[in-house]
Amino acid sequence: MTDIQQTATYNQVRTRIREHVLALVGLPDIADDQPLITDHVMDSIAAVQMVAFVEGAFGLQVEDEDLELRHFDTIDGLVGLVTGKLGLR
Amino acid sequence: MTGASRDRSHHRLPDDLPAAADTWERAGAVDRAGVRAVAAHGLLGLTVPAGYGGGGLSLRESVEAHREVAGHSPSLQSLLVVHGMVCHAVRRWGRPELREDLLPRLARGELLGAFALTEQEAGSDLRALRTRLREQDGQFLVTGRKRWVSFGQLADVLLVFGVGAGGGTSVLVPVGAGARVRPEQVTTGLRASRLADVVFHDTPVPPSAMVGRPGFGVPHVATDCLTVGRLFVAAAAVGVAEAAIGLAAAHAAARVVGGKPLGCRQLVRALLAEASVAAEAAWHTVCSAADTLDRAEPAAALAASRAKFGAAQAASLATAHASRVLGAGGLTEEHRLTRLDQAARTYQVIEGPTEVLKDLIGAAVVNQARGAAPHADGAVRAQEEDDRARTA
Repeated sequence: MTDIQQTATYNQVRTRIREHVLALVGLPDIADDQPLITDHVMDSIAAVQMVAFVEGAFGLQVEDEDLELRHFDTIDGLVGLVTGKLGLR
Repeated sequence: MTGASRDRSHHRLPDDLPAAADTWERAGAVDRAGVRAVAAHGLLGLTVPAGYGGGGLSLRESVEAHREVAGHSPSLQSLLVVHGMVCHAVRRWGRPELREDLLPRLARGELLGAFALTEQEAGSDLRALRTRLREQDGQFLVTGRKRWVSFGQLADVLLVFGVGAGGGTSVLVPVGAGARVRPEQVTTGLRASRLADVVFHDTPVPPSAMVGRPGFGVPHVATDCLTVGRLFVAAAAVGVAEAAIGLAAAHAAARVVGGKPLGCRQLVRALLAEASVAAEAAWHTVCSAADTLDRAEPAAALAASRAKFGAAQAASLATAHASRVLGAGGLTEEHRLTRLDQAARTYQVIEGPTEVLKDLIGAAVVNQARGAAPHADGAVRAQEEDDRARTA
């Protein structure tokens, strides 16, 4: 994959995660570094849904060692988790 | 019976289950022989992957067993719920060494698991948990008290939820390693489910026993387990509704009043119609939620809450209507309908009380409308800020 392709895919991941988070929390916009779980923007059911979404949308298996709060608390964290597992940097 | 179709069976129940269930209810305790019987029939490892010695069933395939067992013994079905939640947690969120060590033994029923989340002052609000998990010298020390632990009197391992320095998580604690287990008072519903009051005081467990990372075990592992638990309880509630309808229908067909069977009277038929349609609708909701969970769809947690709410309502309606049809004969303490009626009441409380579930479901309905019209209503947002401070 070329750098341009990598960047395009990276951006697609971010867009897809942003869209899903916005739909989950029911807000028109949210900052990529806004804490979702620790600031109670997202409840525990939504947090469960995020794990299922990441696995389903990107064909990944979220393992025990991935379950760090920093991976799920912000859009940035989610993008980092997914792109890391997909080998996109 | 209801119009709900019987699925191709993926399990077999012990032949003596109906008689044994009567004995347990009278004694207020499912005994170890009962546990061994369900273990021998593979009912304790239904959804554990075959590679770990389990039945390898999908949730959709397993809910049928929960429905059927609950129709005979709601108490025994609650063992399948709590043990099933522990199996689910270990399989999904346990470390590889924990999975290899425990899952085969849990699946065979050699080890019995129970779910220790609820505390005196913490039920639906997970933030109120007071149990502490302290790290010291390379191990966790568990201190706290868990109440109303179903089958805690018989369990070998308890999945204990608590809070440590890095946030909330869960650990598997072997009973006998410093956990003091006492029987709770026998409850009216699910009276044979061996509830325990468990106290831990610096009870040591190794780090490998942790299920879910600190800060993510609570709420994530807890909510994930409760989602599966809600599905199982929903299936049980349908089983209870159908069993009550079965008793009422048999009585309506056999009992003659004023020269005609009760079942010829329109008001009696109306009761049976309402109950049977409610039970059938609930079953379809349960199956749909199970499919959603099997496919790990984002809406799975909400679907399980919807199914549990609907099935608990159906069970309450069906047992209340059946009670009207059966008359005084069905009101005795020993009558099977009394057991079903008390189970239906219990289903309105456990694995998310009806009011909490209605609040969650209603909020999701509003949220969906707001997604379509993002600037709809500031007041709703203010309410949601408050709602989000709570977890369930």
